[in-house]
Amino acid sequence: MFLMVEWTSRMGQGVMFDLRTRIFGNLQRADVALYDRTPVGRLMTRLTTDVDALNELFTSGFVSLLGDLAVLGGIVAILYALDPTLATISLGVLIPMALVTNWFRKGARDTYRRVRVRIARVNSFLQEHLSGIAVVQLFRREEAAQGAFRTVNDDHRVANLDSIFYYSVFYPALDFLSAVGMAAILWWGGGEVIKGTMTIGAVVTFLQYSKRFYRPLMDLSEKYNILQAAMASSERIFQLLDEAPSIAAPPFPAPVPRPLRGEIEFDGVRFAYKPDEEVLKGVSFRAEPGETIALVGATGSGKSTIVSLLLRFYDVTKGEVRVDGTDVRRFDPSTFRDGFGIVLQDTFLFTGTIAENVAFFDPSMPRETVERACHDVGLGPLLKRLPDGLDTKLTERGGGLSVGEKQLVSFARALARDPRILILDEATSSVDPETEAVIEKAVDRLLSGRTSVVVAHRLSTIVRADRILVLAHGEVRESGTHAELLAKGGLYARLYALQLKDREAAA
Amino acid sequence: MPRLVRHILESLEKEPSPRLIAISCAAILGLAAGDSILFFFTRRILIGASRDVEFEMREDLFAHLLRLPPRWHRKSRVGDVMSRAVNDLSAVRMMIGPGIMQAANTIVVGTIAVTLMALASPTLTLVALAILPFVAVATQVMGKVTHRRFTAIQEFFSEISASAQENISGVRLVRAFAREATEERRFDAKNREFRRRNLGLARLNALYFPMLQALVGVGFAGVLWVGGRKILAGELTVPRYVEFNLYLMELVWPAIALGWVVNLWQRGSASWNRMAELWAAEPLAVESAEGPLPGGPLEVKDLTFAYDSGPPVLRNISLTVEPGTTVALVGRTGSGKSTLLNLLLRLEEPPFGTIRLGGRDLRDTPLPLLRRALVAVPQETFLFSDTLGNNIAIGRPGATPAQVERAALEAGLGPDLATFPKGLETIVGERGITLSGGQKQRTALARALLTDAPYLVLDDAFSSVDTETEERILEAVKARSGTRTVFLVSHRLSTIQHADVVVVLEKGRVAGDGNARGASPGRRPLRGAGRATAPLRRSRGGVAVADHLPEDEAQGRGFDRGILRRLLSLAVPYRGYAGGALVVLFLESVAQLAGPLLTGAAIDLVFSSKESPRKGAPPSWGGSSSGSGSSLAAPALSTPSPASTSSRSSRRSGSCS
Ligand SMILES: Nc1ncnc2c1ncn2[C@@H]1O[C@H](COP(=O)(O)OP(=O)(O)OP(=O)(O)O)[C@@H](O)[C@H]1O
Ligand SMILES: Nc1ncnc2c1ncn2[C@@H]1O[C@H](COP(=O)(O)OP(=O)(O)OP(=O)(O)O)[C@@H](O)[C@H]1O
Ligand SMILES: [Mg+2]
Repeated sequence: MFLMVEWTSRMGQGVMFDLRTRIFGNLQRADVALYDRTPVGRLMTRLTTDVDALNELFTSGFVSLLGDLAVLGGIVAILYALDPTLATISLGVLIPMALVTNWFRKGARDTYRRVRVRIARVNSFLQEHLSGIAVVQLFRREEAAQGAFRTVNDDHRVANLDSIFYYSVFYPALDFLSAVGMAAILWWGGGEVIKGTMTIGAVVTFLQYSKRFYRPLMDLSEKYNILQAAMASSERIFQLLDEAPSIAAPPFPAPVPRPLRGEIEFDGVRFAYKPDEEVLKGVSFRAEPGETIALVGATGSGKSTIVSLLLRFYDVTKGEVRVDGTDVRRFDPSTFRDGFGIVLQDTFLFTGTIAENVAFFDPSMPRETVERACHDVGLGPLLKRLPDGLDTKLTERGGGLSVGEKQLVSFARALARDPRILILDEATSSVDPETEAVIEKAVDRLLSGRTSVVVAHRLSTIVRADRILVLAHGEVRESGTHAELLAKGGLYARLYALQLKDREAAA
Repeated sequence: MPRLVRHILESLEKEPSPRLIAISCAAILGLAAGDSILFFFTRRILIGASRDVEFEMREDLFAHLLRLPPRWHRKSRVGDVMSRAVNDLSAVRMMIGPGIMQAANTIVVGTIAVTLMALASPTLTLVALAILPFVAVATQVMGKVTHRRFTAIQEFFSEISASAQENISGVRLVRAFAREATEERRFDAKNREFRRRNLGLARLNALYFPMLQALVGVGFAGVLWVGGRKILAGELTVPRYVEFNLYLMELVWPAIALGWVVNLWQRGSASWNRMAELWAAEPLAVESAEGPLPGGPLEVKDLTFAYDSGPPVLRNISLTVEPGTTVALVGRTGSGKSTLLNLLLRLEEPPFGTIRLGGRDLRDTPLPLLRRALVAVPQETFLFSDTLGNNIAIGRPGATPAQVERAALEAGLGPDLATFPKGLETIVGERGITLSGGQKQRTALARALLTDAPYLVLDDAFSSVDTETEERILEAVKARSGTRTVFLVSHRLSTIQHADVVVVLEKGRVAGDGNARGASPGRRPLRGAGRATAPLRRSRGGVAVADHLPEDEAQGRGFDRGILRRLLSLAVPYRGYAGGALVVLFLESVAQLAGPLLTGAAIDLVFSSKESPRKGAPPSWGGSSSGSGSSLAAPALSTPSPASTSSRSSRRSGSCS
């Protein structure tokens, strides 16, 4: 007995462990686009609540289901051996039972599914509003948020109440039917005893068996239920697991050159996030190893999109992105990205210390490397001020630092890996110009001979780039060095003139 | 019902009458029907009530969270709060619904059975109940340990979900740095620990329930022994003994269920404690939003502020801002600009007496009024997964579509809207993920511009916007807000030159202030205006329902062989355990099956040996009156197996999902 419970729970926990590992692993490989359209709360529901729903199936479901079946089979055999007529009578209630079960199955299935969908919705809602609580409070949205939550929450409750209805009809109905079966045995069996064709003992035996017969039967329907609930949630888990990433390593990935030379080429790249909304309309450019390429242009013109494509977060619709002469689609994405150092436009830090963030939880990175990187980006004064220095703990999303400081930490994180290709997407947008100048010097020194792609709105950052690409509406409008573009007197010259006022004002 | 059955059987021996049988059968059916109906209602009402309670609790909890001060939220982890609001809540619900229902059931059945037992034979009752102290002790210990282990599990669950959630939120970063493998390793370690803790709790149950059964077995044996001797001594009749045994069997189930209830109860109370920690946080006082908006000059006097117990971030700040001025705050990263603004917005609480608005201490100003007067574009943009229009309209629920559109245009979103086929009806991903950085920021800007608050706080609100667009927006803002007081933080001189006053912060102190140089350039009309957008649909008044994002509703049949097969295949690595469990189960089933055969044979034996049975000797269909073999088997036969126990208990208690 002890062994049985122990074993089944080992099995149950084992299955759940495996599933969590697989879901998590899958999430590490799923397309970035999946995250564009799926709320975090929903993915979390898959990983937690939905997996938990399988617990019962494996701990008390499958095994005892087989046990129940064996018992049932045994009983049926014995009953028929004893008295076929009475056996048939007592098995007669199976037919209405099957009908009830079928009705229940259909109803319960839909309600189960609804419950799963709605609990995910409740979770997403909570998740989102807790993340954005500052905005909710600043804009006095508490009442409205509460109202909206009531709707979501109530939907969930209603779905649950529906399923309770099916339950509360189902089980009593089965109970009743088993009483019917018992009464039938007594009635018929009693008659037989009166006629003298049957002994009382036989009737008693029958009664006992039928009692024992109905119990596994009801257990069976209970198991069926558990199965049904498990299927409703595993349906969604499998859906997630089946989401084959379209951005994956090809069967025979091209070897990633080590180290990367750093040659980047966009060749007639077209791209759309949603069909018919083309964001890049034929972008071509080339960066030789060691060059610095700058991307400028109005907001929404597609600069970050170019970065995303270079990292192969998405696949181009047309054209080709090549690194070191090879189409990026021929590489294994993870191995390929390893050679990059990136500062993304949206700063993101993890819960953990500053040092852990800079090293990205890589214990093998030497402490000196982390320290150096922090000093290079001008975090020195801050670290000196903080009592715990590099070991200062940050809360979620880097809480505990100013926005500019967070950006510096994420900059340090990119530099610490000594990348062959550096990508800076608005890496210093929240940093003051003085600190920026410090970083620039460090970057110049560190990255001599490495390729970099820089996106910036502040043109001071990019005047020294080897080539500046001016983007507008998904096309490269101008391209050349700072001097060339100024001489041209186009878009760039106008942007620069605007910012020149800065310099005059500063002077 | 046992009695009815007994009567029928009795009558069969005495005066066989079909009529009596029919009546009894009808009575059985009637009783069963009544029982079923009662059962239906108790389930519906009790379990339904637990769902209602769950609903209420979740709603109250959310309302409470909404009103917790920003500092509290700053320190908490979303994943942790979520797991309390979802997972712990459901454990509490199990305690309230199924837990109470089962407890009531146990008490009622137990009391009745004990009473009837006592009527049948007081001595034997005492013997049977002698195991109670042991059961109580075992249950007590089990309860304590369950409480402890379950708390540990829930704590770890928080940890695992918070870190998984961060991983999901930071997916682009993980990919960009090719850290997938490390992240999987980190998760794996947590996952292992989680499994270990869960198994610890499961093992407790694996020990407890069989022990309970063993105790019950001892009880039965004791009854048999004492009862047998009494029968031999002529102090007890066989029928009484049989009847007694029958009731004793009725008690087995409540005893087992009791363990289950205690289990639920301990889990629930462990979770309840975790939820109570949320409740313990002091919410903001509820204040009226009615009354005149605060206005007039803003004075900061000798303000020193530190986060928690850290070193001061702001030191002796003093400044006065007259209404209608535009103040620029500049300074190096980390110099305290955002902190100062957050204090003005009371996202952090300023010390009393340091900030006055219109002559009134900021801390005495009702928060809702303050929030109406001051509107902010925070340094970090947050958008909801809702339409662009709804995201903008957040600050002013009654805004007309035209007003929303105007705000969008003022914030320079015109050209972007022109490229979105659905215009303001475009749905943005969570946190605005499907927008470019500048588009997000300008949406937040439009949100602020839509309100007519007299104070506007722009914390680096143009950092992701190109200079040209920024220039245009600032022109528009100034054109419309002649009397607005504006606080600007920026690292760009082009922005700062729009200010009347520039305050330079250096390491938390005011370094010097004066008028910004450079006159503002001539006002140009807003470009990009006048584009027709799709009419705004005001959806449900509520914000941000995540189902705006496409729902992954499942299709297909409920009973899907494919799914079933995959589910089974998950268990393949553990087939050893499954096989072992099956063997145990099989042995038990065989024992179960053999029982009634023996009993039936024994009864027939009794009746055939004593041709005319003693009057009133009711044949038993549960216990046995002779043959120690079947009597000894009785406890083992009648105690439900643990698997059926748990399933039966969950059945009684309703949907556990
Ligand atoms: N994940 C996405 N899904 C759908 N559309 C997107 C997504 N990301 C960006 N877009 C759209 O693609 C266009 C280009 O965006 P992108 O982020 O490349 O602009 P950007 O030049 O980097 O702008 P900014 O300077 O504001 O950062 C925008 O119109 C944006 O709305
Ligand atoms: N929640 C917090 N807990 C502890 N310290 C904090 C917290 N938030 C900010 N700080 C510290 O307070 C100092 C001032 O931060 P603040 O955000 O006001 O800077 P800032 O001037 O706005 O900088 P930036 O230009 O980077 O936005 C920083 O050194 C920062 O590390
Ligand atoms: Mg700031």
